[in-house]
Amino acid sequence: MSAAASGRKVRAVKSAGLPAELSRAALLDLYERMVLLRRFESVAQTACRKGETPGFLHLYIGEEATAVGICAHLKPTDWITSTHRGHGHALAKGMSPNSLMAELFGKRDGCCGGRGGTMHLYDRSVGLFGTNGIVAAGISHAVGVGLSGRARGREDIGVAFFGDGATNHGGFHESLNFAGIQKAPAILVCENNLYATATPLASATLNTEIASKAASYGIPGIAVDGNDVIAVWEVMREATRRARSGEGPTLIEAKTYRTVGHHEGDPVTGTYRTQAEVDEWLKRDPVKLFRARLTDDFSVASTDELDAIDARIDAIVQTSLEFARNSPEPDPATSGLHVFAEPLNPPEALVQPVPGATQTQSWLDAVRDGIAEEMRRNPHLLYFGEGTGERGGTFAHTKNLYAEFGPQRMVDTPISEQGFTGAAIGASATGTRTIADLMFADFMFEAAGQIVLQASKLRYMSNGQMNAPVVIRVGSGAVRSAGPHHSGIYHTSWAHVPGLVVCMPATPADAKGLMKTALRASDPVIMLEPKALFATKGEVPAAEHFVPFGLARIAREGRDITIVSAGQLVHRSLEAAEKLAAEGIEAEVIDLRTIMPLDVGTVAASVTKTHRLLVVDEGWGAFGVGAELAQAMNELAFDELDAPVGRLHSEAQPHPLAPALERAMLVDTDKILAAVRSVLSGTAPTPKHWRHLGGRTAAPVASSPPVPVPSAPSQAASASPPPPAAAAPGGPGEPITMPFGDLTVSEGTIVGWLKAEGDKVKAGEIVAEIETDKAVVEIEAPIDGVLGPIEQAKGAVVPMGGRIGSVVPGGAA
Amino acid sequence: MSAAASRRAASPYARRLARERGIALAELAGTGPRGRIVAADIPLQLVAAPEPAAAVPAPAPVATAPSAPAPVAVAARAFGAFATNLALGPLRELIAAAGVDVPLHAFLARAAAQATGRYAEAIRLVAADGRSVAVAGPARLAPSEIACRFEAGEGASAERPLVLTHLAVSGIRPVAGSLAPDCDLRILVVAAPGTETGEALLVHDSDAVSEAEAATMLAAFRDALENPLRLLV
Ligand SMILES: Cc1ncc(C[n+]2csc(CCOP(=O)(O)OP(=O)(O)O)c2C)c(N)n1
Ligand SMILES: [Mg+2]
Repeated sequence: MSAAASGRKVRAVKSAGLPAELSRAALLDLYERMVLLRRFESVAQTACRKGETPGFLHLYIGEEATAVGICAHLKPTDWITSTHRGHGHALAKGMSPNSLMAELFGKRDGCCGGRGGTMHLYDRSVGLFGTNGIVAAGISHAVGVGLSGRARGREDIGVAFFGDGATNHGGFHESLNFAGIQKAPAILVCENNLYATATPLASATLNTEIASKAASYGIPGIAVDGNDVIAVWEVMREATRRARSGEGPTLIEAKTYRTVGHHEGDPVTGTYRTQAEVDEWLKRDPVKLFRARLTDDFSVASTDELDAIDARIDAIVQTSLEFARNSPEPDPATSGLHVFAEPLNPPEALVQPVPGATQTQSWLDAVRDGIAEEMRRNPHLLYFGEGTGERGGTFAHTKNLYAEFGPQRMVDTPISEQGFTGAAIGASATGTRTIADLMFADFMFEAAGQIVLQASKLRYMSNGQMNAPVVIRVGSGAVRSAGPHHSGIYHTSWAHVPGLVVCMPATPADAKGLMKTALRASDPVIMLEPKALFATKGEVPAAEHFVPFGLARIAREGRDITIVSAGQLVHRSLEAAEKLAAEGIEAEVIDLRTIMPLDVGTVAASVTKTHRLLVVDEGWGAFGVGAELAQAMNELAFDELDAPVGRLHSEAQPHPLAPALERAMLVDTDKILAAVRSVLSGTAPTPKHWRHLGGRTAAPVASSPPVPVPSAPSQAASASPPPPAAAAPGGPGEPITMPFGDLTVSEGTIVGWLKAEGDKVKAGEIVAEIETDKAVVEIEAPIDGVLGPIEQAKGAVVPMGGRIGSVVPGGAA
Repeated sequence: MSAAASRRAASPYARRLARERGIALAELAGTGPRGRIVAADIPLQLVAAPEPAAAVPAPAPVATAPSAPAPVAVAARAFGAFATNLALGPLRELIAAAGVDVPLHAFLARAAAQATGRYAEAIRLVAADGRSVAVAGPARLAPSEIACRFEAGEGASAERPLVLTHLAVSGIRPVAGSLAPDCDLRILVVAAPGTETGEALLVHDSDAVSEAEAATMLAAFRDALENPLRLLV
């Protein structure tokens, strides 16, 4: 039975068995580092009590042997990720005490200029990828760091520190599993100090042997006495060897104890442990223990020599205290810096070539080409997704990429959105830009913590040292009865978060151009591609093509009213504009293309011309794009408004399955026409999301003019899925139709007919084959009978649900 | 009569038009919802025209207020002229961000061409160093392309070109400018190297270009420079 499986502790070596690498100098170095961690935090503790540090501190006192034993094997180009209890990790990895103390004081000369503080320490120069205020959040970053090193052909590894509490968090399990299946060059170090705040491990899980959890993921797990620096050092030596030689990750459980409260100010014992227990562990204090072994067991130094080291460290720590006290306060004028890259757009997106030749392409082909172009150009670009490897993606949106770039770059992930998004952030921040494909916009919330709390804030927290140029790619929005969990778009939720760029293109050219810009940009980009447009086609520049963030497209010029939209509703707005033109009303249609940044300048300029604005947006109205643009017009173009700004959004409710219910909530061309007329008559339509404020509904004002509702029954077919063809009789007999079955395939090609007109067929017999973007599908006869006229010949492209022929029941012969 | 009772409901745009045309809202009947006065209710004719300048619709207001129109009288041909301030910060940032060595006058030329539409079939670009080159079809060219043609010096002789002159001096405000016999429209930009603000003067032949059109074009020129991403597409 291996140590991993049993969770057995590795005993500290006796002096005789001391590893050869642990020379006298190396041993004294370990000692000196442990003393540094201890003395530094003792001084920081006093400063915290005096109120000199703006925030409270989680001290590492009692656990020093673990950080020092682990980091002794790491190079500055290796990265560690850490926790809320991370001062020790930072110092062990080599951060300057001055820089650390000044950061704890929130001063300008701190490692993050006072932006981060104790739980958000970053130092690129020594490979510190952050302490972290979110339990378990850094584990996946370390996995990504390892994959990034491997992708760049380096032997750099990622090491995650985390507590016992984190092992009950999904971030731990997802990361362990992903690291395992990827054989990631990563080491996962759990510091089991028996408690998560005041919760004992044994009351949070029935399996308290944390090392044994590695077995679930097929990777080695080893428990070690975390208070014995040499034991930790030895275990880490083997884990490092494995990681650097491509053998994969290791889980290390360091059993240790904090001899202080959870955070400074929290009582040492509290209600969850006894003074006797603390005293018992104090006898095994790692610094005292090691000091005694240096003098007594190994005889490598005298007490005087060690005292001299202590005194030297005291002086260093004292200097850091003075340094922090004397460092100036950060300049308040800089408070808003480092939210986004400046400039936001990559230079390529700002240099537009003279318009050249174009080709007609489908949305998915155009974006796929854009990604392939960027992957060819940048060998350090990875793609993480579920089924996006050999399978080519749920929407066939990564078709052929696997064949060209292989499994190392087109990484098929387990279903663990949080884990692989975190890994994508870790990789992106360390030189390997990564696309995290989360399939549906709805699923982004599975990774929301990583996107909102980590990626979006990384540049800011680290004072501009780090950034996460990750692209989050999802299919978004409503498309024919996809139901409550596959129809959402949520763009405003993400646009609300400082630090995220949010793209929502409406044409294949813009989708490709924005994707390519995103893959050169320096900030996290949320790429929301409307599923309903996947099968649409458009003109795409044949040459290199970039679309800058923050520049709306004027999709149609007009003088009477401005309609602002994005994504699939741009096409509905254009249809409405054409109908209005027939009545002599010229609407200008603006396609925002990016929701953040929002091109309010272009909208204001248009309003200066038309004096009326209607915002048409697929998201929910509350706190949405309409509200934002309306207020922007108050600020920028108030004197230009001849009518209140109108807004038209999807109703504030989940997306129902039943087509009749779904149609009722979605924006369509008729609703846009009605809203335009309402604004033209001087009244903004009132959204229903106000109804809980006293029953106001769609038409609240008694004297408001009647809103004419045009009688045109349905919207044009350009980008919307065709209606089921069953309703359209095309002759006698039972229709044979193109199958539905996939939300995103909108058309298919007839590969061939296996039966001829007049042939007898049985129900269920294969009569034809069709091919979609994703598969070849056999078409069965719906009933027994005789095959009627073939209505769609071989080679014809037919919308899904469309009729291709029929079977006449009975059959004469 | 209380202040509330005397207040006439009017759209912000209608209020602005009434202000500019010197019309009191109290004199008007509103046709909008609940009698709101809307733009269509403001009569076009002037109630009072104290000086010619007031007859001209001012360039559309944006963040920076334009300076007052400065009509200039010249014998023989009838001239009009308008001046405005330019905020050049956004453009300077964009040029720096693009990391390319395209001079300011190429962006000015593109913006001028965009703003003046059919008057800019060709542009005669007079750079700060005095060199003068005619470029055809500038509204369809990227600024980098305009710069290339300017450097190549290919002077396509053009019918009635738009003239764009850049003067790189600071602290100077253009008040009047001449108009060569072969052209109807000229924009003069005074902007010192590296400065965030500048001044622009538009001079036009009043027979060829109406005052309203001229003022609108200058406003569009100013707006284009303040939203410079648009100059790239
Ligand atoms: C996701 C998340 N949940 C809860 C918290 C609040 N919290 C901060 S520290 C902590 C305890 C963590 O325990 P453990 O992982 O064992 O680390 P230790 O404090 O023992 O070092 C908790 C629950 C948090 N920061 N993040
Ligand atoms: Mg713990």
